[in-house]
Amino acid sequence: MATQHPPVTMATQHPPVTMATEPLASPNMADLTDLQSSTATILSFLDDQLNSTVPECTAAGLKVIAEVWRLKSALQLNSDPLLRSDSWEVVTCDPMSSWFPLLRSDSREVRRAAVEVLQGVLEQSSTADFVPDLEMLLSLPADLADPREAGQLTAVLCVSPPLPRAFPQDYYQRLLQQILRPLLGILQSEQMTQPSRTVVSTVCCSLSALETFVAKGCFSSNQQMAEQVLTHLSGVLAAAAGTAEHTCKNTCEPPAAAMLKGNSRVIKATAQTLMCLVTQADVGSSPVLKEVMDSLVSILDRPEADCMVVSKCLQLTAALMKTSRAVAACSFSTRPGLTSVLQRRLCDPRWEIRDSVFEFLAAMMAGCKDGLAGSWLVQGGFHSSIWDCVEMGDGYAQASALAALKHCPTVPAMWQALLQDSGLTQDSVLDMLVQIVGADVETVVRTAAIGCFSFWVQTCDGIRHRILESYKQQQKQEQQQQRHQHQHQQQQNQQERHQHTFEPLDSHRVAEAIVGEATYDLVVTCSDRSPGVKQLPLAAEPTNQHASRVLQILQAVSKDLDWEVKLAALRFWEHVIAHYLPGFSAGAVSTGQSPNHSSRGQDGGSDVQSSCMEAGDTNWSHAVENLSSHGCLQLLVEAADDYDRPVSEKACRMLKELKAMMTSQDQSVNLEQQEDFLRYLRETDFEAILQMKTGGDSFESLLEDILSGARRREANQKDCYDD
Amino acid sequence: MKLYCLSSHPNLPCLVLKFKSVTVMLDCSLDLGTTFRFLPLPLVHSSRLAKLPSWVPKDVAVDDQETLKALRKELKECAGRVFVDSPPEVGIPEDGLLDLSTVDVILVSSFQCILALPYITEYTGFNGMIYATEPTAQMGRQLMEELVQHTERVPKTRAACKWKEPGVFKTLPAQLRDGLDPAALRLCYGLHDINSALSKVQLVGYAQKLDVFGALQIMPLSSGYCVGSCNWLIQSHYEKISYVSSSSVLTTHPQPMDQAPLQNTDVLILAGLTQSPTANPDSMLSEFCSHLAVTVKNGGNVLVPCYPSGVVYDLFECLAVFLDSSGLMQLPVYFVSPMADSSLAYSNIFAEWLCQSKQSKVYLPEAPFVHEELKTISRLKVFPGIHGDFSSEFKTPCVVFAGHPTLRFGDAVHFMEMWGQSKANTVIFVEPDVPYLEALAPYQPLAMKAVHCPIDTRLSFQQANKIITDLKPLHVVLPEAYITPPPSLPQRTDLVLEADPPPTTFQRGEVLSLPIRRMYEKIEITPELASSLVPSEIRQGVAVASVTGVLEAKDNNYILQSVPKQPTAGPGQKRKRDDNADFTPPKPHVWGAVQVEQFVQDLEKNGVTDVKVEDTPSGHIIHLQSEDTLIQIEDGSTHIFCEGNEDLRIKLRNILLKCLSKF
Repeated sequence: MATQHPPVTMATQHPPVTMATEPLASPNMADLTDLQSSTATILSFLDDQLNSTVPECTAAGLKVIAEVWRLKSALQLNSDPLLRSDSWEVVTCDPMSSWFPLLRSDSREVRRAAVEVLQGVLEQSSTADFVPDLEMLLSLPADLADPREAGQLTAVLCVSPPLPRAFPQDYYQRLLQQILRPLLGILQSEQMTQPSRTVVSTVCCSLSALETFVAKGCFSSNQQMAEQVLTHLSGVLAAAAGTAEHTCKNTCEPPAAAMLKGNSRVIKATAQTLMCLVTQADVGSSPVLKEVMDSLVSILDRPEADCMVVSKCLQLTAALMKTSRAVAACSFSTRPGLTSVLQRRLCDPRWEIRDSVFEFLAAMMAGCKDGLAGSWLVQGGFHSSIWDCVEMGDGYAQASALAALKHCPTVPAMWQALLQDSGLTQDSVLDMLVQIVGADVETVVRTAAIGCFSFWVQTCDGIRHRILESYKQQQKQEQQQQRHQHQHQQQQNQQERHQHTFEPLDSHRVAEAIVGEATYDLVVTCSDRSPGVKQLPLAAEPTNQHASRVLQILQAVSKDLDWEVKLAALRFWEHVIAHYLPGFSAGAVSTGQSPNHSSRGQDGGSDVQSSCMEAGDTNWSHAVENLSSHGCLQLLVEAADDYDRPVSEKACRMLKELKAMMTSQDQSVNLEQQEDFLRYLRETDFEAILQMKTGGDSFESLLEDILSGARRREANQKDCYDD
Repeated sequence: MKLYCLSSHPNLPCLVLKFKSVTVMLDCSLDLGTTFRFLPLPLVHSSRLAKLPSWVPKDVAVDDQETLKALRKELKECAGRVFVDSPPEVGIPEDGLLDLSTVDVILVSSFQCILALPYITEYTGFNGMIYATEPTAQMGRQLMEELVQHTERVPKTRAACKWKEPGVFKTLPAQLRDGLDPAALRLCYGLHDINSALSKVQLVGYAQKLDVFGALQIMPLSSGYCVGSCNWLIQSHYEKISYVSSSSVLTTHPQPMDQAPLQNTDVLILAGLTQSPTANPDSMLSEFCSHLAVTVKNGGNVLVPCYPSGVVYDLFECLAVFLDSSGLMQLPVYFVSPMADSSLAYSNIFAEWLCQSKQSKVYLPEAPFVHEELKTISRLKVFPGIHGDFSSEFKTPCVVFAGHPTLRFGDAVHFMEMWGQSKANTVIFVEPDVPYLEALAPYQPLAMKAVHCPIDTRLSFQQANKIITDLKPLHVVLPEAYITPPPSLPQRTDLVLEADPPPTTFQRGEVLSLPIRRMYEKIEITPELASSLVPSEIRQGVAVASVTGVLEAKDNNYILQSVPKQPTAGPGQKRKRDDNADFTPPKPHVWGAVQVEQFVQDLEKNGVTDVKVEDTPSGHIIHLQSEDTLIQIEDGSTHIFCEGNEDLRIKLRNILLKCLSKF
């Protein structure tokens, strides 16, 4: 018995595993001899394992074979002749006849291990042809009693197209029938004998397999199959929504409908699969989508729908309305249900629900910009809800409301209604966002507000003009308006008040507002940080005083305590630069989404070159002067030395691209005022800064940071009186 | 042990337990569902209700003009349904099953389960004890007084009774007749009844041990459902019964449920599970808030029919936070009930009955509930009724919390009449025990939006099943409705209670014999008697002694005393008959195995010779040939066969007994 115990250690000690980790030697006869010897050992071992009567041993042997298959798949592209040795074929093919029947083993563990081997085999179309009996394979899920196991197996059988040569042409159709079989069995049963938990589990497993089938594109442009899947998913959703008796009497019998009704697991799985289908296949014209919409509205109306259900259903609703004009038009014109449900959900005390609705509204505005969508949104009063939440909301819901507000200007009806109904102007909207960026305590909210500015600079000409025009111009316009309306003295008073209100904010004060008194000392430290930062005598610096309020706050937040806010601000400036220098590819220089996910080296030289070529016709000197007047250049220089690595990297990439554009310009252009900046660009090796290792990613550095922080706290210091 | 079920509603229990000669009533709930058969009592004249057409059953004899005339006045038709135009009557517990005057003790679990108390204490000859916690008694009083004030405020000239006559009753429409026992209907009691009934209540605290006639010990344990609500542990020395009713494991304002003492009971009687098994309380609270906000933002008013205590405390807290975050801080919230003020006041002085977080507020010192602060800053305006100051303060749009949740009496009736025809308004039902469609029936057709958000924190089926598993009772007894899925959700087989062994179920009018067999009783031995005992060690560590004494049974306590010495009767004195005249000391218990050789020697010593011993598979046989006698000695028994020679048999028996150990 001792020798038959699962030799887990043996499996890991065997050559296939160790070879993957050890450096590969150059091929020679001695190596090949060793390999043949090892192969014989492996074959002998596998033979013993597979023929063992102990399920654990058999499963261990199958795991070795699965590992070999995976290695083989990974080594397909390797040009090393040693790895192309026929010995591997022997290892993988010889036990083929042994492992395949084990898919029908009585032992669950053995079956699971055999499915692992099958997965390894089917991962590559070239190896998939090794499957000996496809008929048996396709009939296998139906023989499995456990729905979860059957679902996992069918998911493994979903081979990505193109279909391997040995596979029959109707493989996908037959596989789909296998996936749908348990689903149909439940939905069409007259009498349900299984407990509801089993029924729900079976449905969810089938849906999971179906999602894999759809996600892998297994119905590759087969519209009929897509329609079939859609119909069944619609049936399940209707049953879960409790609308089965109205929509699909033929497919959903009451027993199943009653068991699935309101089940959040089923709803989430169905919505996810439908989402996958809608994005993968062209089902926009299907009439079934209207039934799906009915079910979704019904689910959204259910009081017991939890946050995840509402979120998934709203995402699917947005996707459907984006995909199908007919569904969208129908929803806008004849379905007051959706409007009232959304209005109510916007008043839900749970922020997750409100957040999901704002995300839905943002998606709607981003996807459906036609007049119908706009008027529907206005009639529902959603513009007011968005603004109310921007003004009075907090946390993630407010951030999502800001994300929705971002899209409002792109839907004229919404923007007009927002300004009129809330008594707003473009300036007051911008002021509100400036206030949020400067004063809100939530990072996600400040980031979302900056996102609005970035989006508007990128897409909305009118607002961009208001953001980028100088403070002097704004002031002049305001004075002109006031002159027409008030007497001279009143004008002066108002002007003074405005001047006081719009006094440029310096970074220190903004930071105070952001973090509050609790970390005031930290703010001071941060404001005084990096004394070695190169303070360029930029000619444009004094003109910062004349930048618009938006530009001022976005200069100030470049010293925010949160790296995400600083990064968002840099993205804004990236779009500003792209506005002045169209060749500057905003967004092309990818940004690190988190300190652990920096993306150094992604912008190749060729991209920069191409963008430089595009920028050839632009007025380089005028652009540089404008950027300097906005304070953009100074903050970029400072950001390049930021203590947050993602911020520093982002600034360096932007400067690197500017440098590349500069070198392609006519050197005779007179830019005396910006000479210091240009010299900085010329003399700084941004590539070297980007390559510089800061140690921020290492575990050792993290530990040092923790220890350093811990030492500063008196509570962490041990004294002689401690036990 | 017997259990009588006097109530038809699993959430409004009224059970009677007979155990060890003590009759214990577990809760005395009142069925207010009967009021749905009656028309509402409007506070001001309602022309709509006054103009409702009469309804006469078709099967009544046409020539019985008097009956027809009476029925025309008593029965009215509204939106296709027939209602009784009379002061609403309530359904009392079953009184024909046993003589309620024999009830010794009434245990009340919560203030919602005390409403039938006056009917039992004042009209049945009841002369026992009533145990309840202070919040239960006080809030129960508020509920009862509110009920009385609501019904007495709008007195009807006469109560309808003709419709209850059997000949007429059987001809009534099914919706009026089904599930109703006319004999169990009563008009509401009066304030005098309430005061008299509650004066008999003895207040108890959580985990306080109470002795009932020496036979039982009872203990209230926090049930976590509402302020002062409790489960009861009833135990004797060797039996333990738990009564779990209306409990909650969710975190709300009351003290959390105390489960530990309820473990390993012989019988668990379970009642009062959630009325809305598919409605999560948190989701319902969210629904409540969102419907309220949408209505108010659209310029409508919101009516929340509710009791003056209970879930309303949590609602005020959540609503305050919600209104703050929704920019509706200026929205007026009215709480209209004759008991509103005292309910809010009492909730703040019952700190020791609240959860830990609320208790700790008291030490700051702060009011445990936020409604005190809301009242202070006039965000929550409290009025005893719609008359008086309310009229001058009333502004719309607003939210009104008012009673009664059945919408048959109280201020809520007025708001229904006033707002019912505008679709901008909403009525939100939060009390789980009220079937909202029934409540709305006499207001149809209704334009205002009706929303059902039952906030029921009581145990769900899943939680109850887990508690049954955790508490490990030997037997579970529960209402029959709990072992089948709810009628509205027949496929939800998960909404049932399960136990191993399968639970015993009850329904109204049933008497159950509970599977408890009393095996032991505890007896005290007096010191004198104990000191006289001489234990004999029968094996190492085990010593036994026979005890002889007089057992005294008094107040269900048993004391074993020494046998009093017989007085020596002097010459010419007669002994009293009852002075242990027939007392003879019991014979000692013999034990051990007979040693044959020793026995034979003893026989010889006593002159019995000519003894022949024969070994058998089961022991020995001794032949006394001269006496023609046979002694058969086996393990555990010895038989003497001496052919009728009684003297010899006694002689042999005495010799044999000397060979055995005794105590």
